[in-house]
Amino acid sequence: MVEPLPLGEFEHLVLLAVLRLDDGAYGVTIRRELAERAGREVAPGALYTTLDRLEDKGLVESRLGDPTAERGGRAKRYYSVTTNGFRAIAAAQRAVRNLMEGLNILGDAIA
Amino acid sequence: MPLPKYSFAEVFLSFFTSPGRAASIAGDLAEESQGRRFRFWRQVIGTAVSLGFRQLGTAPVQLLLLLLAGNIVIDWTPKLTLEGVRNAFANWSAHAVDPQALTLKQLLLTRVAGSLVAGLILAALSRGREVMVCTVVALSRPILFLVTWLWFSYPLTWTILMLNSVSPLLLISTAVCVRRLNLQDQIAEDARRRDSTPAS
Repeated sequence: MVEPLPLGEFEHLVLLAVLRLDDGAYGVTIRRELAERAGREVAPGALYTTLDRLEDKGLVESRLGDPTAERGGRAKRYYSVTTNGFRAIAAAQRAVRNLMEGLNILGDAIA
Repeated sequence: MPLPKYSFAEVFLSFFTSPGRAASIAGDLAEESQGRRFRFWRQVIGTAVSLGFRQLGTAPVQLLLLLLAGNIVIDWTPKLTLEGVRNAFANWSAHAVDPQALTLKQLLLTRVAGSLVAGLILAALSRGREVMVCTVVALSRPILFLVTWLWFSYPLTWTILMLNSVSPLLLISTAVCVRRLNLQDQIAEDARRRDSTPAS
């Protein structure tokens, strides 16, 4: 099996946000999710470059929605996590879990 | 409530990413700004800068070519009679400041920054028509030189001839390479579009 690509911290957060939003993941909702859940106020440019990079790596894919008047007649670009994206998230989570093992940072130790 | 179309923003963003992505990004920013124009334009400019730097980071050849083209443009502007154009580049160019007051590193930095900005402007203005625009720019110098030579009987030497023919050739080659890179981007984008399916 191909080794999953290593993720940067922000890439990891963006992938998780896309995953949480399921079918409704596009620029605006991803930024909102990051602000609400991760406390990260992200500049739009940083988000779009990261999404581009993740798409180049094959970790997310995008499709166009229908144009709407509230967006000046422009379509939303929806993102979803690919199989490789899932693998990369799993690998990153495993690494964090292994490193957290025995540490009591969040209040209760992870066994 | 329908928001303004912000068509210029879409065109501006398409200099830094594919037209399809530029449209959806402009839509996102319009949706978020809810009619607040200042916020919208601040975010458009910030996004364009980020996308521009990403493009350069992922295409070092393109960066070198832009630097080369920009350097040639900066080199030429003082020689052209368009004072306005020259002054527009002045803030970025080492030509505009007193070279004696600058260290070599500062001189190099201003030169590289000026070249990059000039190259980006050139590529942005000529997107899709790089070869034509760069050929016109490239030919302007030898034509100007020939006119000056014929009009004022300027002494003609091989060195002058060489200097006036090498730069245009470099600029045209740059344009051809940038065109090829842009075409590759377009092909990749078309392939992505073919693979994607519309969603509600």
